[in-house]
Amino acid sequence: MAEPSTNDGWQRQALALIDPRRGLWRMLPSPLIAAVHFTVCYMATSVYCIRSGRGELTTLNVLLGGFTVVALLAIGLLAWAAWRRLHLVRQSREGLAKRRGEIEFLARITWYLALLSFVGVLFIAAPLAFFGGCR
Amino acid sequence: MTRDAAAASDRDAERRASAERLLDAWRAPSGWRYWSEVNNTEVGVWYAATAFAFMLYAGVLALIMRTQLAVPENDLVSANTYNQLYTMHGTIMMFLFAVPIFEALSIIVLPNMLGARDLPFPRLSAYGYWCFLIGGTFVAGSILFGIAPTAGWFMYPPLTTQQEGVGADVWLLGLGFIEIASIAASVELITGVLKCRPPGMGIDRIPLYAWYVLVVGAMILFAFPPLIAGDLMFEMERAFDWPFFDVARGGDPVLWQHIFWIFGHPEVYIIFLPTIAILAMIVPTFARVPVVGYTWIVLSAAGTGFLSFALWVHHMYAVGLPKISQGFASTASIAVALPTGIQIFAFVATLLAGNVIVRLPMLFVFGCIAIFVAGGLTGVMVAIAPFDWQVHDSYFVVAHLHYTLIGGMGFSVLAGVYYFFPYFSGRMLDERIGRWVFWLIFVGFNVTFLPMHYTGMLGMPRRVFTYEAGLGWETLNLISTAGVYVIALGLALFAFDVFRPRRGRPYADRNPWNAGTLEWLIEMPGQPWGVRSIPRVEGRYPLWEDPELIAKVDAAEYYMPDAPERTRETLITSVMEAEPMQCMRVSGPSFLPLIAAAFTGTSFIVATFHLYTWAVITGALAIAVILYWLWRDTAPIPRHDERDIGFGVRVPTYVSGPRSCGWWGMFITMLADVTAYLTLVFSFYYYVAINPSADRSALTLPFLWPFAGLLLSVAVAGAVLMLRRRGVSGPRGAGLLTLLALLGAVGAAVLMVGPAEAAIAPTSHALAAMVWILLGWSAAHVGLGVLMLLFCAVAAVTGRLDEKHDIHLWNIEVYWYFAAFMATLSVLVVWSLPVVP
Repeated sequence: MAEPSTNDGWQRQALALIDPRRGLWRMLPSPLIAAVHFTVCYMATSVYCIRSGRGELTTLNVLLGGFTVVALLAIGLLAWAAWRRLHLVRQSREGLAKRRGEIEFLARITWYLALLSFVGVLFIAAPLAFFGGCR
Repeated sequence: MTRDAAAASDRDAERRASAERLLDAWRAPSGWRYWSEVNNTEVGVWYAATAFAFMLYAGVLALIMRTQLAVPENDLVSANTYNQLYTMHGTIMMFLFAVPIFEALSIIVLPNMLGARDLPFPRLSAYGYWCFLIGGTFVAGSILFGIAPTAGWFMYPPLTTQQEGVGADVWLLGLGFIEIASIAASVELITGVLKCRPPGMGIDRIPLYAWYVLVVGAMILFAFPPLIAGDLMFEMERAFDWPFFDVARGGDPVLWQHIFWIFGHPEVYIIFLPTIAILAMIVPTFARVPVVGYTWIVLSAAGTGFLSFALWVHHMYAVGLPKISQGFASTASIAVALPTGIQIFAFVATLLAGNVIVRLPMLFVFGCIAIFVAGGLTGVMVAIAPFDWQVHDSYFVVAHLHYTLIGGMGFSVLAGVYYFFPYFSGRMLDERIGRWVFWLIFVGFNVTFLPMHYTGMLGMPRRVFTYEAGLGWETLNLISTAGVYVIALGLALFAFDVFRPRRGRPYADRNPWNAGTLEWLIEMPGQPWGVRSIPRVEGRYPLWEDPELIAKVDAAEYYMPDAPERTRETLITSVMEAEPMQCMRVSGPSFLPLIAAAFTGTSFIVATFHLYTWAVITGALAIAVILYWLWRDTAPIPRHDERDIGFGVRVPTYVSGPRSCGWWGMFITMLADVTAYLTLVFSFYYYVAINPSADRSALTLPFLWPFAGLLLSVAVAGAVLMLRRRGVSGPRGAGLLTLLALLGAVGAAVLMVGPAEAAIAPTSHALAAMVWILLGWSAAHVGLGVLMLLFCAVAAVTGRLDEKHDIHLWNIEVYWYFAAFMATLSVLVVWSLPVVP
């Protein structure tokens, strides 16, 4: 990696990525995606099971499987961005000295939470693969 | 005398004078006026003592139950009394001990952990405490009159909605009231962690305890309100026959189970996380090293907080829900073991990394980890649905929940009391007695609850008042009963050690455990001001990083060492990097919170006995007292615009909008409020889903009235925004605000015209009742907004609200956004009912 202080564009990009004003909320998107994923899976199957008189879930399971992939991709993207941010914070020296601790901490926690959310979505999606019906 | 010596003596004199002023501001009133105190130290101690008393009371109930079960076919108590006993035992332990003790401990230690003089809303803490005391005494006392609830702490309908007597009402109203106290505490604690930290304590340096408080506060905001909504529906059914849980009229008792456990499972973590937070403070102190994996622990707190909302169905495996629903709950329950495990491993790693000194608090920490891990493992067992079907409602579950709660919560609270005792009393607890207490409780606990796993496997159901001989349960039950007396002995010894008089005994050393965090700046005994001056913090363990810190803080060398106007003030800092933003005046002693709580409590209590006129009168009195309290000293206009807090740093004394604590308080409260509301919306669609064939044409609303109400509430919210932007003052501003209040009042009224005109009878069907409750909820909120507008109008005309001092307007603007949102959503949801598939 090039020395960051020698590259203005790189530096600006780094600072934009780690803008602390938006920091605390940055933790939330990936767990929120996991929460939405859970809610949609739970509600969709419940309503379907009530309304279909406990029928088969085949189509719905495929749809929810697709939704799971989308959720995983989104969380993966967020995890990648957080990892990159963490990397940039560690690389850059100028302009950050004062806030470095806070920013690095936030980037790190965002990354960890994205990882946990990723695993959480996988766990929640597991029943979709194993249950074909509503019984 | 040399010039230097003269200067030094001047400095000393000035320091003494400032200490005098500071003491004047913070000293607790004496005599009977002591009970008007609102400072965190006093209120926190009352809170903790009351919660502890409730715990002992519920413990006595447990002793009676265990004595009844000691031998088969015992007749110590009747079946009805036994039902009251277990219901009250669970209810009191969960609602009157486990949650409040967290709030109590946090109110005591959190401000000092953050080097703050007090939390931002001291009167709110006091109000919460008095609500808790009144509501708690009412609920707990009911069993003495034989009118306590008898249906278990989760109050499942239809048994409870159709039961005679006031037992279920006592439970609902008493606890609804206490839930409000919990939400009040969480608003206070969240704002405290975000805004009251010392300069330099950026978010990467917050003590772990405060992180947990933040997470748990947020969980309370989203977990308690669903139960408040559920309580409302429940009480409407009991009092007015609105059929929310009556299958014959489109209701569903299973909905109550969903609502209860959407509250109830996060509740378990709301209890558990704060006590793990105590461990996170104790473990590094006795390992003599900073905690290992600080970020990982924050992650696991936040992760557990999120995941805990996905687990509720694991309490309902035996209801007959679709297997796939059970599957989701099962995998989520297993997933939550990941963050929980991370915390435990981080503590173990810290212990391995340091040189552990086993003093009393550490002994309890070891006890906690051992028992909690055992409870956690049986938790993973019952998370697996097929296993749960075998042991559901058996003593296995009783054993499991006591291992998690007493292990995770009881032992760590005891550890916390031993650890923090010198902090709040200035003296240490006895080490020798403490060891006896530990071993008695530890051994007693395992003797009581370990056999219960097996009793449950043998088929003994929970909540039976007696059992026949010859089923193989006799010996196991006798052992459990013997064990519980050993626990009681341990707790009695503990209570003796805590409450015995200690006058004349020496005070503990300063920072007696050599801890690294700011609460140990406290003097022995503690001074009313908390910290003599507010330090600048450079790391996570300031007392370890700067051995001179205590001396420098005492020498008033840091921020705000003085109270020039002899009023209580605390420092407000920014959320991310904790730079000073405001020197905020916090309110001093007042009886108003106590009086307001007394009226609020009376209102709830008389409603239990269906004395609705009195409930309305006392409720109105409570609102009047609260308005007077807001009027008298909420955000007063300060004499000076700025204040020098030391080192030449000048900060404003008055701020409004998102920079102020009041705005955050309002925003956080409204998050809780809107969560309760969304639970109602959820319930509405739940009824739509389970009633596909219901005839909804009778529920068609006219177009005009609901949409007029919607437009008016949105218009008022928009107008409040414009007024706040433009600035409001004087009679003209007051006139505008009054006009808006009138519009709002009309809006609230017309919202209710629709269902009346369409002659929708709320008792006819659950969906009809939902229409009324959704619109009624919205109208009530718009109505409350009208009161706020009138308050601002009076403030404007008396010169308390102007372009520069507009905190009230900012706050009601937030309120009105939420009120308008709820009115809009209600109208859309209700009006579109006939066309929803």
